[in-house]
Amino acid sequence: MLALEQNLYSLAFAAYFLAAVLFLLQLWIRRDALPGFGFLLTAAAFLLHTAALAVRTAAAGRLPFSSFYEFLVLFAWGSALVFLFMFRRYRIAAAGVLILPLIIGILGYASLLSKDIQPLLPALQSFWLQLHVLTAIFAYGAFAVSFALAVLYLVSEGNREAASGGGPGEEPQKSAGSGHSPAGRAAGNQNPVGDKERPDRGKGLFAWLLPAPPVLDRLIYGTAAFGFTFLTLVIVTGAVWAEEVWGRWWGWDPKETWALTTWLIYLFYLHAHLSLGWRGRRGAWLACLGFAAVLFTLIGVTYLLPGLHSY
Amino acid sequence: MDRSKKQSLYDRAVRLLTSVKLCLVLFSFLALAAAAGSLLPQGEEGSFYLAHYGDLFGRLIVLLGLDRVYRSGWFILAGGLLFLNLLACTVRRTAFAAQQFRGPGQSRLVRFTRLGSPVLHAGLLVLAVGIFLGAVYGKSLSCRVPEGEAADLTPAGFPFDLRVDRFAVEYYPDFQPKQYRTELTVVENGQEVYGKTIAVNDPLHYRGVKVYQASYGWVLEGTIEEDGRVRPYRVFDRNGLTLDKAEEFLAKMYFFPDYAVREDGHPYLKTPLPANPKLVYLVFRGRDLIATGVLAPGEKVALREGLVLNFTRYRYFTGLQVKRDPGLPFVWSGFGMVLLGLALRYIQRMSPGRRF
Ligand code: HEM
Repeated sequence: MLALEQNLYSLAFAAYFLAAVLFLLQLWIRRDALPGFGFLLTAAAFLLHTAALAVRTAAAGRLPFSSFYEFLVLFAWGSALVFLFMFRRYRIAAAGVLILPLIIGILGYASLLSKDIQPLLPALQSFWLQLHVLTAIFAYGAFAVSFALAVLYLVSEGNREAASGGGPGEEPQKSAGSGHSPAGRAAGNQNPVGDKERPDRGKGLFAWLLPAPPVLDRLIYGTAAFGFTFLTLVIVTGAVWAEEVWGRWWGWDPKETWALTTWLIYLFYLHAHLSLGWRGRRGAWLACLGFAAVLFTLIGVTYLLPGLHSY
Repeated sequence: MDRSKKQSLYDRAVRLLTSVKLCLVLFSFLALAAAAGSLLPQGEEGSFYLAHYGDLFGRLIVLLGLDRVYRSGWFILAGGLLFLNLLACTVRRTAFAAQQFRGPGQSRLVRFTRLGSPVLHAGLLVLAVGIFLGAVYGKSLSCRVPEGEAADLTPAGFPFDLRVDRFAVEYYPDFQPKQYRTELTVVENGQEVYGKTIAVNDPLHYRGVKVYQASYGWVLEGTIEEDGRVRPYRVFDRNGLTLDKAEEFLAKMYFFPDYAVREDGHPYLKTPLPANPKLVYLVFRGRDLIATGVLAPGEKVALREGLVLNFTRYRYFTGLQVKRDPGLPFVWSGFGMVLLGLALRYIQRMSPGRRF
């Protein structure tokens, strides 16, 4: 069983790798077919990845939610899922340039860890834990994509600034009460400002691959808000679980504390975006900061700040 | 004149309290403080910080309360300010939402979803009330109770006492623990009123009190004969026991449920099950180790003239965590409202005919 699982991972890894190559090739070769192929390969890799997870679930007789190795594999899976969804919906091919190497990095790192199927410790035998991990996959996957988009924004932004002669994507916010834009709608169809702002396709590293800055900005916001909603669920389900296991729904355990720190960073971002109209560069930096906190929660806390969490 | 001055002060306070800028400042401050509290060891003695962080930084850490961030005045103050900020914003936004709710809208659904933001923010207020109630009126107690004995909780202000009827550990085939269970009986005014076997992740709930499976271990019992006088002892596994009246000799007691000896002479645990139970004792006089030995239940040893250590029995103790948190219903309702609010906002964004 374990051999089958590892073979499936190797295949998935190879497919992710090829997809990454295709996406990276876009930097030098401009063919509209490239991202399409990259997408198909990523989808194939994702299916293999899913199959590997299914095999592990069958072998363990439970969902693969309990070791650090298992969580990293799930993190990569969630990132791929959110990326595939974003690609289908908004055609942001350039995000693949970052997201696929990130997935490869996570899977590569996970492959160094112990892959043994451990029996579940008493504290981990909880329905709430399963919800906790499930929601974390989506939260972290969305934050990863948000981060990739933010980096693209920051990298490509210099050119845009030169082209449009002003703060890119800065839009005055009307009243704090008037809702805000759903990322998708604006991205899909009308965006007169965006088209005018779109610089000469020749300029810049990613320029030809990217939507107009306001659209990109909204996508960063949309993915971060989605991740935030799920992070809230992660915290709530974690609290219910901790109350059942330890008799305290909050205990300032380092993992808990860092989940809260991450939550506060994204909360800052959402409010600054909605109410103060922080767009563009500042928002993108906040999305990067939030993702840095995610990575620290996942890796830094695991190794540096031992607590009650097994990962 | 006086009145207008007051007005403007009031206005300014309201403006400050409803400002998003204040909440951004507080979010950043709390995020930094939370991170600092996780990076610096918390709750140590002052000397610990001086030793590890040097004179200047050590002193600064203690002075600023960075050694107990989450209980420090400034942290709680920041939380309180956020509460006021949130309260002010929620009141204002609820008024705004109510206006919108009554105003011309599309479907009932769309109008209803406009309540998302106020419900979300109000949920956090409810959560804050829960945290406050828990901090002020909550009670918690941990105790270790040997199998067959009682835990007197009423003196600590809980409405009942407990009896521990049995404790058991369930293992996987490779002896990793699978579950810990304690059979408990609730005793109220001397009457047995309720019973439940608790386990990790499955606490007892009774009259607003919860009892959790927190830890376990062994209790060792026997007698000490000193110059003809016999007195019983009871000691937790891996703890120390004073042997004589003069408090000269101290025994450290280690229990091995399944005692075995490695080739190099060191004892080890073959399994965690009591298949070959042995007590291993190390006797110290001051700091000097003066004797070691192994006893099976029923055996005794003369440590010196007129001092005999007798090991009669071993049993499990269960570690229980008992607590009462009257804030809990508020905490769960608050979380529920936050999630409901977030859900409503998503429905709002997806609903047709809504253009931003
Ligand atoms: C811990 C405290 C707070 C939390 C968890 C919180 C959470 C949120 C969330 C999740 C959103 C919606 C984001 C979205 O739907 O994309 C939001 C929006 C908003 N919040 Fe807060 N908030 C908090 C405190 C505050 C405070 C103190 C204020 C007032 C200064 C405030 C004012 C607003 C405003 C004006 C909006 C945007 C308008 C709207 O969506 O209705 N929030 N908040």
